[in-house]
This record gives sequence, C-alpha cells and structure tokens, in this order.
Amino acid sequence: MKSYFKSALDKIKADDEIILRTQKYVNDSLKKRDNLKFWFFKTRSEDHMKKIIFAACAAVLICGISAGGYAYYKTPIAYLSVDINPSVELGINSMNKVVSATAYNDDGKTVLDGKAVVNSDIKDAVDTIVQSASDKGFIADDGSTIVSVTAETDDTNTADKIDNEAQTGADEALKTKDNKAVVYKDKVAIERRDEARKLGITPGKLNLIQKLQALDPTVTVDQYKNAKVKDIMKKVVELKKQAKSNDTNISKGSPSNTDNTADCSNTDAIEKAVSESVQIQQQKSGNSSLSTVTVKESKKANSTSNTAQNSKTSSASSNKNVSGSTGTSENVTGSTKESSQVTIKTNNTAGPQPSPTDTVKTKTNNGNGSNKSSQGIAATSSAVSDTSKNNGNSDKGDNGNSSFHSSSGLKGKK
Amino acid sequence: MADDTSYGTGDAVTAAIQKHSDMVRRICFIYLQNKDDVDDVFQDVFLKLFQRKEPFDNDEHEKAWLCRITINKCKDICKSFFRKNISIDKVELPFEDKTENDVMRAVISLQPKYKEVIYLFYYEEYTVPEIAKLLNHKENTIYSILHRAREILRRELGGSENEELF
Repeated sequence: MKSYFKSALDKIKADDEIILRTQKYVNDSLKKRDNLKFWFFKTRSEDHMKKIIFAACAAVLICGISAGGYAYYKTPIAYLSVDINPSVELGINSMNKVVSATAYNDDGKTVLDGKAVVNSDIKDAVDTIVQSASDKGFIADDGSTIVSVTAETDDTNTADKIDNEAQTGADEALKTKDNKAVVYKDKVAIERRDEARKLGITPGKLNLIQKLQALDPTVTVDQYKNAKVKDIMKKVVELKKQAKSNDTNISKGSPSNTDNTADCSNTDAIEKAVSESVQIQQQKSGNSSLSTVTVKESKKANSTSNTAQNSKTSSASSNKNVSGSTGTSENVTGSTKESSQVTIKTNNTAGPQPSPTDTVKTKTNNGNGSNKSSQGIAATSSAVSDTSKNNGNSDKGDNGNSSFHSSSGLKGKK
Repeated sequence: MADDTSYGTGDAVTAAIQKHSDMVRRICFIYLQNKDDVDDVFQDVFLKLFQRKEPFDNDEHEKAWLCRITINKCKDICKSFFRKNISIDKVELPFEDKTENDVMRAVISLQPKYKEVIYLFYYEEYTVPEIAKLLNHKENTIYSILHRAREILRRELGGSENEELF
C-alpha cells in the first residue's frame, strides 16, 4: 500500500497558479504594518467571520428576548388596593406576583416602609402589609377594624382570584399577629383607577366612598378621603338602613324593594363586614359579661359607663360609641339603626330575649323607622345572629333589614 | 517591513513557497476537496511562515513545522461550523491507476486523526517517535492510531487483488 500511496501522492503538485496567488497575497500582507489586524480577519477563513457574526446575532437576540420577557414580567395586568386606614396599591403581573407597591397616604407609607413586597406572591405581600399595619397600630385590638382589599381589573375571574389570595394573605397575617379584623373583598374596573388616582386615593377607597355617595349624594370624597375603611362602611350601613326603613315606612310597593335590592347587592357585603366586625368585637370582650352588663345597664339607662363599655363591645361604630344594647342613641337616626342591630347581637349571645325589648324601650325615638327596626330586631334577635353569620348575600340582602321584620312576622306591624 | 520576517525580500518569499508548495498541496489534497479551501490554506500557512520571528533550527525543523501548521489548518477547516459537507464519492480522483485511486479514496475517507498519521508515516516516512513529537501526542497514541487506521484501510481495500498491499 505504501508504494501506491506514495506514488499517488507524488503526482500531486501545486499548480503555478496557486503559487502565484499565494505569493502575491503573502507579499501584500507582509507589507502591511498592521499585521495583527490582518491576522484577525484573514488568517482564519471567512468561516470564522461568519461564526463571529452568527454569535453576535445570537447574543443580540437573546438580549432582546430577555429584555422583552423582563419587561412583560414587570408589567402589571391588574392592581390590588389594600385599605384599612393606610392605603396601599399593589401592581400585579400576569403570574400573580406583585411588581409594584405604592402608598396612597402617609399611613400607607408608614406601613410600606422598609417592607419588601415586590416580587412576592399576592398572598405574601398582603400578609406582610397587614402584619405591618398591625405592628404600627392600625388594626384595633377590639377587632373593629375592617381591611378592604379591592381588585382592579376588567376580568372578573382574575379579580376573584386576586381577591381570594389577598384575603388569605390578610387572614394569615391576622392569625399570626393574633388580631382580629374583618376582611372585605371587592372588585372594580380599571377605569375607576384613573378616577381614583386623580383624586389621590386608591380605587378601593373610592369604591366605598362612591357607595356612600349613592346613598347620600351630599357626601364628598374629601370628607372621607382619610377616613378609616370601617368608618366609611359603618356610614354606608347606617345610610342604607335608614333608606330601607324609610322606604318600608312609606310602604312603597315593589319599586322600593327593587331599589333596596339594588343597593343591597352592593352593600350586602359591607353590611356583612360591619356585622362581622361587630361580632368580633363581642367575642373579644367576652359575651356573658357583655350581656349582663347590657341588661343591667340598659335599665340604668344611658350612663356613660354604659356607653363606654357597650361601645367597646357593640357595634362597629365603637368610635361613635353607640351604645349598643342600651341603644343609648344619642347618635342620631343612622346610628340607632346600627345600635339596634348591635343590640340584637349582643343580646343574642347572651340569649335573653326580654332585654332587647327593654332596651328598645329605653331608646329614644327617632322616628318610625327606628322603632320598627328595633322591634323587628327584638323579635328576630336569634334570626339576626344567624344571618349575620351567613355568607349568602341574598340573605343579608333583601332580608337585610327586612329580615328583621319578616322573620318575626312583624310585617303586619309595618 | 522586510525586517520583520526571517525571510525578508520578495525573492525569499517566492523561493520558500516554491520549496514547500507541493507538500502543502498534498496535505490539502488529503483533507480538502474544495479549491477555495486549498487557497485558504496556502495563504494562511505561508503567511504564518513568513511572520514567524524565530529562525528554524534546520530545514527539517522548518518542514516539520510547516507540516504541522498545514495539517492543523486543514483540520480546522474540516471542523468549521459553516462548512458544507461534501461527499467524498463525488470527487473524481485523477489517478490513472485504479489501485491508486482506490487507495487514495480509502485514505481520504478516513477520519482526520488517521489521515495525518498515515500521511506522515507512509509518505513522509517519519518514525513513530517523530510523528508523536510533531503531533504532540504520546508514542503509544500514535501506535494505536496507526494500527487502527491500517485496520480500517484493510477493510476498505479488502479483496484478493489488494492483498499484496499490506
């Protein structure tokens, strides 16, 4: 083989042409001073150049795609506002992670200060925020605080998902801090966000205030801009009760009912929240003592001590110190309704039925409405306690006030 | 300019090219089929030769060095990312003798690492230690490669008519 191999290869010669070419090439390149540069470009074949170009393109592509992906990741598709009194708005991206957190008032800034919520899940972020709020004292010990979480998006499914996660997060936070408060969920469309931003508040709060405005057009945003969520809600419940009782008073037909139902659907949840918070407060302070106190105190009627104690336990309007069982009134029509509602609750826990009626009597009459409601309340005390725990909006809804009446069969008395 | 190289003037360049071009061409022949590639190798190899600052110990040294450079360059081109794969069969081998043709075809179809050893051993007639040094391998490695290459060739070229080859 060797010989064949050799003989074959012997025949291979470089032709003159290639020699000349090479000669020329080498001479030219040697003349160039900048050999280094030449070496880089020409020493390797053109393939090398192509390789470099290919690698460069690949690099650019990768950079472009990652930049795009990163931007997409950081873009919020929905927002979540958390309001207690501190107002915070979280931007949520398509993977349900928090990509931005803005405080809408000073309290909000305090709560967000130094907390890392960006890049966490909705649940964890809300957890952190609520815990922080609790640490900084925005969650009242008596459980009267209401935490409102509002999802801002046009897609109801997303909104619900976000709301649920937020609620879970808030609940966990409350558990961790051994606090109690009510979590109120809601959702709004994105366009409301722009409105809200113009006014400098979170859409969640704006939503609540607007509900208030629906019941009482004289209310202005500024009035409630810095109010606590629970205050706004209480007011809503008040006004709603007032509206309802007024309607039933005049005994309008179905129209009023339908109106009520319409409002009801909006404010059902609010009512539920308010009543829940009231319950929490009751639980916190202890039931038995409460009931006895209320019974006795009611007899005494309106002593400040009453109010003091009751206010703690009773209605959400602890601040307004409505008295609860004694219905120490003072608070104006709206509150009476509340107090009546409260009364029922407190009494329910205790169980004694008679007391409500007593307390009712001691209440100052503020009008037909209040009487009725209180009566209704008395009679249906048990019913109330049940419904208050219900989750069904419809129950609370139409029956909201009317349940007080209907269940006791007091309709006739209307 | 001229001072930079150990060869200096254009004449020296020409002389050097003349001296080695056949060898370079042969090596190219075994590895590459594409004319452009061959041009590439020539230019690259000779430029490197003239850019080399250190003088060679002797002619042998120079030749060995050039050999290695050429082989490496050919292998690079073979491995090149953008290279289109050329089927060996399509290439016409210009040998009149059929046996020569067969042999060459067989060698060309070897993998690069076998090619170099076969060439250096059978054509240039280097000893295994020399080859080992040139290719920067251990001697045993060269022995194995050689052995394996011969096996493959034997299989390729097997047949009674070719018996005498080995």
